[in-house]
Amino acid sequence: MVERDGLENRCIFLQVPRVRIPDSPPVKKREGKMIHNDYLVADANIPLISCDRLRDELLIYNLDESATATLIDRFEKLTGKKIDKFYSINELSGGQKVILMALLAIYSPAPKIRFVNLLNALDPKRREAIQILIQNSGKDIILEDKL
Amino acid sequence: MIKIAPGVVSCWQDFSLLIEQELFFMPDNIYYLQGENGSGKSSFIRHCLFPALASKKILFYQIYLQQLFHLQGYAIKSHSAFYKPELKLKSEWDCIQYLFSNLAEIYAIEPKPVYCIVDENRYLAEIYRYLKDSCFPFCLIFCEHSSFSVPEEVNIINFQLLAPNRSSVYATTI
Repeated sequence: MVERDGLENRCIFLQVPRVRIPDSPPVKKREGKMIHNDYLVADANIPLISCDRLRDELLIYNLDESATATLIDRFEKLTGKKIDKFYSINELSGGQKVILMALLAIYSPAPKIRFVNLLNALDPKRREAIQILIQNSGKDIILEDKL
Repeated sequence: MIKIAPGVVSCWQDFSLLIEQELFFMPDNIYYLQGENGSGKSSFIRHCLFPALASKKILFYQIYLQQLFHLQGYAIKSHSAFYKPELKLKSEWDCIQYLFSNLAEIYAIEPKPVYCIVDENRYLAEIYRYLKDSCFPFCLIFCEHSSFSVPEEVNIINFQLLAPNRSSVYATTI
């Protein structure tokens, strides 16, 4: 119990009665399942969050062993580049970073993804391949172009 | 004029560029660095163009807009916050305009040709228009994957992947 010691005379918030105004809508509480209604935002202008090894990005996107193996295999098919968990992602080109970001988001557990400026950074061949992956992912994916 | 000699340039530990012929970059010309993702366009800018430009920096001004601009954007905003706090730069285009206004100020004092290198920037068309409308002679060198066309002749520098760790570089014109 907090002793007020006349605090209510100084602090205006303590003087306001704690009642809900009858006409105002009830406050919507954030439940556990509501998190899944949000979109994972993957912005091609800032494709990678960490700046060291691939494993850091895998942790951020919460990819398990099986999804990681699929990602590494798909990345090699798309770029011709062999990578592993300990690959330094700074050595990738700008376009390859965007491809990696797209694959991380697609193979992550997120059911809803919002890609920002994804296709602008890709050459026509990779653009088409990524679009096919998006179509076949079975996820709710929004492609957004923003200036 | 900037010249780049033919030969093999080692850019990273596992990536090199084979420059097949001598390459020239001249003021009043436009150059399009064309190639797929990972073919070495940005590496060419860093490892070939920058050293060549640095060796003649007394003769030219240079503006470089890097790929994944946000970090450069923070640096430009910091500069402006220190020297011109009244500007309050917000967007990427604000930052680019800040660089160009800085260039215009120094050009008025000492005119020199401008080398403008644009590595995949969404404002390429606006940058081109700004350069065309300005009074300074310029050489525009750009990489781009979306459609961008200009009325004048464009020199194409092709980047062809020979292997994941090696690309060949050669020039053509359209």
